Amino acid sequence: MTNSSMKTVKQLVKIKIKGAVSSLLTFMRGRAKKTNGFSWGTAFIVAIIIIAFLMLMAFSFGVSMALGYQMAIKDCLWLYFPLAWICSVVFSLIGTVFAAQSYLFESTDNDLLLSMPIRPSDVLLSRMLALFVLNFVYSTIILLPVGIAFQLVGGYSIITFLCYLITLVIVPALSTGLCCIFGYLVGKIVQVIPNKNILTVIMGFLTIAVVAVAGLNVGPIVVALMNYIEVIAENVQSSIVPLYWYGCASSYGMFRGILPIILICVGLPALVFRFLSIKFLKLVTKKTAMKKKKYVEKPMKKTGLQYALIKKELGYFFSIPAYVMNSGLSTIMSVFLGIGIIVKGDLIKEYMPLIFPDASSNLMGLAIGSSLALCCTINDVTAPSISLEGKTIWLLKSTPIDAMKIFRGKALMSPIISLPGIIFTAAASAVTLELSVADILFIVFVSIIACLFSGFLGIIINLKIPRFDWSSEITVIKQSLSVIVTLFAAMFFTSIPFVFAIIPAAYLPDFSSVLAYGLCTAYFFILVLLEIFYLCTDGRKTWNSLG
Amino acid sequence: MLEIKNLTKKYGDKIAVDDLSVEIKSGEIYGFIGHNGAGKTTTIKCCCGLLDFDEGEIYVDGISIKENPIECKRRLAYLPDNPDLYDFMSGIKYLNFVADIYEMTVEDRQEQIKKLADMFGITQELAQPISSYSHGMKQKLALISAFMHKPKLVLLDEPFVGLDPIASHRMKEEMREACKQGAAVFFSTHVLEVAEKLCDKIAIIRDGKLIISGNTSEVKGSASLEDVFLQLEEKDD
Repeated sequence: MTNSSMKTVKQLVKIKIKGAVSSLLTFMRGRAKKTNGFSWGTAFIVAIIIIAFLMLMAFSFGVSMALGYQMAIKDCLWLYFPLAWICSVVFSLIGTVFAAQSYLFESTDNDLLLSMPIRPSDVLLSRMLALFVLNFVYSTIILLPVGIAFQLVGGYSIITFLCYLITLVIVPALSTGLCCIFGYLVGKIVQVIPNKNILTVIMGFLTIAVVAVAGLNVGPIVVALMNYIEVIAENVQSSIVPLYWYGCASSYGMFRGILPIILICVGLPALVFRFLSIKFLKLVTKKTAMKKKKYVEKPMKKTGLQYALIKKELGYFFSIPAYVMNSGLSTIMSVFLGIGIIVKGDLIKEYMPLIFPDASSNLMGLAIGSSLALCCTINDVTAPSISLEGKTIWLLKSTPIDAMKIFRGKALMSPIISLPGIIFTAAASAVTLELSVADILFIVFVSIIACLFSGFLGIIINLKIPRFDWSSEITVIKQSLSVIVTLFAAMFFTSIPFVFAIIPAAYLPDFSSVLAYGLCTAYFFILVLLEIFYLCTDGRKTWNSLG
Repeated sequence: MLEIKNLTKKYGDKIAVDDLSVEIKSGEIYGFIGHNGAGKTTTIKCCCGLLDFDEGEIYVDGISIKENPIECKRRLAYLPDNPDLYDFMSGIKYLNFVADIYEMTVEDRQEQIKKLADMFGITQELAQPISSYSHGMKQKLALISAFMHKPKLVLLDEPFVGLDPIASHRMKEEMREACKQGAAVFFSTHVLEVAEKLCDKIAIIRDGKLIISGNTSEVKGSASLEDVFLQLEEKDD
């Protein structure tokens, strides 16, 4: 690589990282952008991110200490770093694998860069290096506590510490290589599959399901690891020899043992780079041939404006896989709740009287209703919906549509999307838990009205903190302040009535569950009315001032 | 049809449009000319209710845009300089959506879409998603959506950008046709030759202020519109 090439790559990596950092720092800015000073929104998001990072690191540290002690006792401390190595590779892959394809091949600056005197391989290298940095951040969340725990469990020598430092670099290198392969394969699959949105949504939900199952079973997995550590060590030693050598190097200081793993971790991304650099130009300039649909004139249908607006919102929702995965998750969770009720129905029936022994009436409806309503409020579909109008906002604003109709069209998306989950869970509860008609009606009605509440709340918050300067919808859907604030605020407001209804219903002899149903429903009803009042007045004014 | 009275629009301390008054009557094609950043787009956006303004009044068909924006918008069509449309819809779905907004009858929408799509040559593309359209095709689709509900006032911001010569010619025809039927067209442009040939009246704006306005023949006199525009620009410098 020539000197100028190196300079170019360095510059491109800098731009990519600066872009990522600036996107991270500006994602919470809506109108606050105008103020250069302290922003509570920024502080709030930064605090949440730091807390999440610290929690993950604390978890990694706790597991490392527990496993490390077991390994030291059972004389297989060499397994400590190989296990951490596998975990950090998997963790960083989860974080970057889905971004790899767009990161490498679908950048908006492709045409610009390729028209400049820059070698395509340099462009690719810069993007792989930027991915490496991203992988480094993810793997460090696991490896940093692992390293600290090792000092307490086994202690470092100069060589083992050197091996640890090498591990910090080679893990993200391997993850980068792997996620680039994945990105390439996804690109290939997408070319032959007609509806890539469905594929992306299925893959996304599968990943979420795997991560959720692994997350829920992390305790038993750690216990199993601790119980069978010797067996695992024996198997790894006999079947994955490079890992054993690597373990000996990083735990016992047998330095030569780390060389094969370095070779694998550095060799793989190098090979991937070589392979992709040959195909890069073709990959980024290739246009997927779309099957041209023939236009056949059909009788058109006239629909009402409100219906047309709802259809438009739903069309937008289903056209963006990330939107479906983020905001449709609540429907999946509601369905899981229903499945849980079917599978564990007997257990629920058995435990409810034990949890609330003094309850004068059956609290099952209240418990299911509150759980379902909480699930539904996770559906923050409206929270990015104003921002998502983006450059097309002129369409709604220059046409004769009253702002309230636009708000209603957006807010109704929330119950519509959640409805399948609500009906399924209500039906599952009716059959499995033998609930009364009043219970079922409450479950359905309170969930729908909670959805409406969170729907309107999302619009109000997004009107307050919109963001129109996005280049990709994903930034607004996943990383905007309005989404995070709506999520927390909706969950907070939704949990209030149930907490205050369950306590008296459980302990006051004259407090019936029907009264609790009435109070909870009235609470949401009042909130929705207040939201509508706000939107009719200030909300309308804010909408008119947007754009 | 459109009456702009002493319009002033500020962005912070910057005055984008300064005490501008223009009147466009039914049947007129009115060209709005000015250098980049002169305030043309801001004026047009104020007229269609996209932007609020600080002083003055705008009336569409005698109705104040401030007091009754929905009624004004029912009577007008607006096309921005770079029309971003709903990429997730197909062309025909988009047009049907716009037809629903303007509550067009089924017969009307079918007739208008057929006529205009044939005219702009995009009938066969209507089933395709808008995301696959080129800039010019998007412009054509936006033009169809603007003219199909037969608005009384058409506000166009740089409508000729991105159009091929045939589409450009047909759009001029459609503008004339709309005016014959009693509508008014107010459009901004940098293409002075087009403005000179097409417009009944012309207004030239500089730094938010109206420099000159009137019948095209009166504004340009014996010189070309380009000469007049350049002279006015130099004079003010």
